[in-house]
Amino acid sequence: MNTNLEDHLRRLTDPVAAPPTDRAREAITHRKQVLHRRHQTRRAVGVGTLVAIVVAGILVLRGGPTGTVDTGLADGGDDDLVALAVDGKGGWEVAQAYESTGTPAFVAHGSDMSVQVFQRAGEPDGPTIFLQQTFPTDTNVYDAWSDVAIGEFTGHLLKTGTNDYRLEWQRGDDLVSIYSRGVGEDEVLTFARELDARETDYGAQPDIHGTLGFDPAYVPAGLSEQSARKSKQVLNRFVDGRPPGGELGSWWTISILERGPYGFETVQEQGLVAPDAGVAQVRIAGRQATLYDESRTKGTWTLVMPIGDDLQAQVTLAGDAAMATELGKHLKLLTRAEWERLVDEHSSVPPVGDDSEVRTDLGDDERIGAKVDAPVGDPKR
Amino acid sequence: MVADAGVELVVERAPTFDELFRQRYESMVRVAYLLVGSRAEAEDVVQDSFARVELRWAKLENPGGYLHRCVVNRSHDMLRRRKVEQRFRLLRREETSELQADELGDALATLPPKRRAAVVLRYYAGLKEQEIAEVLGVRPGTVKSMLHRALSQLREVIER
Repeated sequence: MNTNLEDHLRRLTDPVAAPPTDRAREAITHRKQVLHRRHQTRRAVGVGTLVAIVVAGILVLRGGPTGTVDTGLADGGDDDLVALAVDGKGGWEVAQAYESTGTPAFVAHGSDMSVQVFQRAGEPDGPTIFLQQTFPTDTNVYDAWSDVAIGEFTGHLLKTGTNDYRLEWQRGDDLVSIYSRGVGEDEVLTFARELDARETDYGAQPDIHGTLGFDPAYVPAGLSEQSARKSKQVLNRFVDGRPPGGELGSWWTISILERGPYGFETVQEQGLVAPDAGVAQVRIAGRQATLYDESRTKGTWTLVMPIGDDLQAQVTLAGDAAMATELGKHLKLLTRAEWERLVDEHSSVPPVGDDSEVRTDLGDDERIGAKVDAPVGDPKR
Repeated sequence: MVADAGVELVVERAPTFDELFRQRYESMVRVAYLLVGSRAEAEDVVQDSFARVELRWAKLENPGGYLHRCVVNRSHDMLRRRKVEQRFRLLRREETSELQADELGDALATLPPKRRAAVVLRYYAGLKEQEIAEVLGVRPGTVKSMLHRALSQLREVIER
């Protein structure tokens, strides 16, 4: 079989001709220069300061990584604010805006991971421990993290908010990640250290449908495991576009998700946040927000902030720091009426896949689980 | 160089970066192609990896090994990014794997990325388990386990 496999693999790559041309060499040199500049910048200013540069542009960050932020964002009262978009000035225009319901990505695409959520029953926005077991996709860098012992493994701990933490450790071939909110450091560490793996062969890949995951011997008071696997429908709002004059490959997108376990976890699971991202806690128009600087690893910047009582916005930009700064200047909170106008003006080809049920009538009593009859491709019907 | 006993000793000179580029570029693109399923993205991955190697050239003891590691890691980044972009519907295209027209390509695509990398490095690039362990940052025993599981998954396709 092995010989067959080798032959098959060779046949698969037979059509791929990629000689080491001068053009390829030049592309490598160019990339090296870009990487070198990035590296120099980071060394010069440090992660925290670089985050501050962006935040200064986006949010006018004061006093280091945590501060009060003065932005152009209008706070018209939580009840009426349902979305975030760009203001249409300076070339920052919306390409499309749409609403959809769908299965959270981490449920829909969880074939290569296990996911467990620990919360108080009926308090999805309360203290949370989100436990994930997956494969590491990169050689993680934990420069700004603290080393902690998790049994026989070395774990890495990062404080991301007043009482919020990220904790990761490699367990054989798997990466175990904890994202916690509203749970103390000691409790998080005890929780991690007392986990009993269901799959003892940690060369195996985790599988959400299998018996992988962990049985915790200790759970912080009041928390219990909640179902993270049921196919819950959630409402999402999306706005996206390309930066003015942005290079090919640059884009920005804003996702407005329901807060609670799915909004919280989806940010993490989608891989929007790299383990070595710079993290800054900021306040925007009275709201606490988190800025993730992933420019080094993924060339993106992600801002996560609440909108109203039950919505959360994720602003992600693939581009350089100058673009991130500019985008921050053009963010605008929208009322329901403004959002509906935006959708009317910019709805286009609706999404496909898990979020394929496009909705335009979003009464409060229909936010979850309802479908409309409009066929895909005709969101305005 | 000739030693006292008259035996010719060949002192192996470490390749220069440009020699490494010429010798390994195409094979690395093919490895990346098997990992990401798209030739354009494979070249992107490999060019980025070579750039990282060149940037650290003076400090690398084993540039070839580091290159493999970069290619695998960047490929995984590419898969993750693709997933995110598709999530946000910004990538207006169908599933990008060109490999899927082939049964084995289809089967490869179903493997978790790290397991797929182990298969490609072992059976296409010809690396030993110890070398794969270094590239993937896992123990050799884990590589053995990964290969075993991957082959079990692929067996049905291969033995047709």
